[in-house]
Amino acid sequence: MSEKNIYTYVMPREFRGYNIPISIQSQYIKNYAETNGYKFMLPVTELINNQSYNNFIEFSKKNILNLAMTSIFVLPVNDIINCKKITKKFSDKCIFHFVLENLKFNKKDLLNWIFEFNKIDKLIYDYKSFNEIKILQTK
Amino acid sequence: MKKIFSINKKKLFFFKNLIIKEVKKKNPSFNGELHKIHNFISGKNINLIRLNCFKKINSLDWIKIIKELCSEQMFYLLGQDLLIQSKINLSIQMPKDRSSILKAHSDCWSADTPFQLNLWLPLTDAFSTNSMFIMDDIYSLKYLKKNSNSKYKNHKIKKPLKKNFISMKYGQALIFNPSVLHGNVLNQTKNTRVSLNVRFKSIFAPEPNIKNPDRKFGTYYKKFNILESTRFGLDIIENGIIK
Ligand SMILES: [Fe+2]
Repeated sequence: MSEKNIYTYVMPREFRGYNIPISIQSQYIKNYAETNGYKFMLPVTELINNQSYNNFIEFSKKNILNLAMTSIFVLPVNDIINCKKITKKFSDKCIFHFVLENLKFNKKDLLNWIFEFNKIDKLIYDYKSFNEIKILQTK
Repeated sequence: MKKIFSINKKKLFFFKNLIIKEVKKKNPSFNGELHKIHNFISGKNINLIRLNCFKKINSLDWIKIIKELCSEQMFYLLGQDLLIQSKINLSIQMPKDRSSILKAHSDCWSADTPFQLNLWLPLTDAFSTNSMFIMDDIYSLKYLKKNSNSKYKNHKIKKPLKKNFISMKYGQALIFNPSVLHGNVLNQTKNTRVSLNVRFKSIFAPEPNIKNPDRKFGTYYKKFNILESTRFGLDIIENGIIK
């Protein structure tokens, strides 16, 4: 596998509130590939079925070295066990690229990031819960 | 709220030097005076240089330098459990450059949390119309309230006065809440202004909900600092000790 080939994985379902047309995801990753000197390989689209990462796992059988996605939240970030499962067969040499977050990791660092993210994310509430807290205080 | 303080010029020079190098790539005769960039680079080319510098800075460990420059102030204002914007931004405001005008706005209009603070670091002196203007809190809040109730028409924002333009020397930093109305006008001075800005937020302050995922932790923000005691608390929760 050439170090300069970058494979592309696009998501036809909603992820973390985003629902991005496949063509826009492809174009976005293509632009990333071109500006960073990679050869863009045709995108593989995941199945629409909820929770399916079948086509993602397929990549692990191909011994690829670079895999790009629109966002890290294309992966089931909130479910670390699932993340471990779907990345298990990938080579340690494979680099995962997440364009939106400007992140680039091997498997080990990816799982560390996800672990750390979930830890901190638990502490952050949004405006909705903020309003709920305010209501509780005034009662 | 608005706070100006002095920072270590030697450390700040890391960013300045990087931009000087990028400008020199385009025009080797550039003398290194960032406030005179407009004499060496045309308005047409400046955005490409800005983008190259942005990319270069963000590919390096810029957070380490930001930590050294402003941790003390930021910890004092927001506490020590902090997130930082994932990418640091760069502005270049050349004289008479209409393309860099950014009209008065509040960052919360684009879904930023109102609990964040912005660190603004000029790499040249910033003064008069080459600088940024910041309206006062009371007027901003009054305007934001009025405008949020009008569906079809934006109410006119009053023109910034001389006193609203931030006057700062290279080697100073500003921290302000970007939910307050701010922006810039046509630079009518003879000097270019170059500045960096990056946002901070306490881990414990609210963020937008899932309707604005690109303004949330993980995308817009990343970890800046976590207290040991907070980490310990997280371990307690993580291990199911408190249900
Ligand atoms: Fe702004």
